[in-house]
Amino acid sequence: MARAKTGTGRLRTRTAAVALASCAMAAGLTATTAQAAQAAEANEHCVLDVSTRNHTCHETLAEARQQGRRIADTTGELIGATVFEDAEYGGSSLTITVPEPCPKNDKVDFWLDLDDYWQNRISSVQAWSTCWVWLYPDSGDRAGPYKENHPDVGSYINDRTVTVGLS
Amino acid sequence: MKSRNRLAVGLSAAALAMTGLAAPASATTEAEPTVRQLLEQCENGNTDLCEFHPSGAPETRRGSYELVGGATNCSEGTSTRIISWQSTRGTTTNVSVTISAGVTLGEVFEAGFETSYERQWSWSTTKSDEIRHELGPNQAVNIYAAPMRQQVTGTYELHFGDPYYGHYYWYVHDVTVDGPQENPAWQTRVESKTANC
Repeated sequence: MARAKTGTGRLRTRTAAVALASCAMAAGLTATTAQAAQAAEANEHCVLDVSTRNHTCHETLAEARQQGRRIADTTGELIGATVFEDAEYGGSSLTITVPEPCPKNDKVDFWLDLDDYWQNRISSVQAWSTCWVWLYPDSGDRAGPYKENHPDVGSYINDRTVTVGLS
Repeated sequence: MKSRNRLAVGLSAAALAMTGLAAPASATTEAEPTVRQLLEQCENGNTDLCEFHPSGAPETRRGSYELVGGATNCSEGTSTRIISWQSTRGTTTNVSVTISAGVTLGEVFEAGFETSYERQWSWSTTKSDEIRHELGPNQAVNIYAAPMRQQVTGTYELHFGDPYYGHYYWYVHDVTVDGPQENPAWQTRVESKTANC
């Protein structure tokens, strides 16, 4: 979806703003509507850490991913997926970090219930590490797995995702 | 591109689940590797997984105009010339490691680009054309040409089977690859100058 915004946001840490529904290999996450209100102000590039519940936002995707560094090790977390508001990885983004590569155990290992801002908004996704991305609409059906970088999630699920799963 | 052994990575990940991502403490005190060192690990096949993830849509722009040909009329009369020209443009990057067709880093980038945007990456382009131009007495012209180019910035993601500088997973961010669009539109410019007859 298209949305015209200006990048005026500053780095924020929102440690307490995310509720972790479960832990370790089956994590469910819910962000608050307060985040949604802030995110609506401008394109934001946020990182949601499954393990620590930290939720930080940045002005650019590059800042979000590298935390200001050209190269980065992954002590603590590594990127499992990034979802985007617009096709071809445009608009706001949400990078989901996981404590380990997805173990490929025929299960969805991480669940992310999207907040009001991100619901019905995802148009493109990138699968990182060994993770595959599943997109769930409100109907309970699902689309995926998205195993690579996908500039367009397809008309069936475009702007309809309410839950993201990583397997 | 998943240039890798995903199964091997998955098994490794399972083994890491209890210990975290960092290698044992004895290995974590090493200095940080350079961008070149990390990318060379991918190039040399020392990674379990090496992928390129773009940070956004490709940025397109008109490339620089370069001199591709010209003609001079040293006669006292007007002369109509057919000026043929040919130009080739390649790909540049912002790293000191070769990322091009035929090398692993190039293949990884190319695969990442193609899955990301569902179109092919073009490492180089060549254009041949001719311009019909009327030259006055003692007049000369230079022909400049510029193709449309595209630029992609992204991250190389590397997974190692054994710790590298103390870690199993590394990212190299802000890698920019700049090349011609596939079948780009070229623009030409004709500039008159004084003939050096």
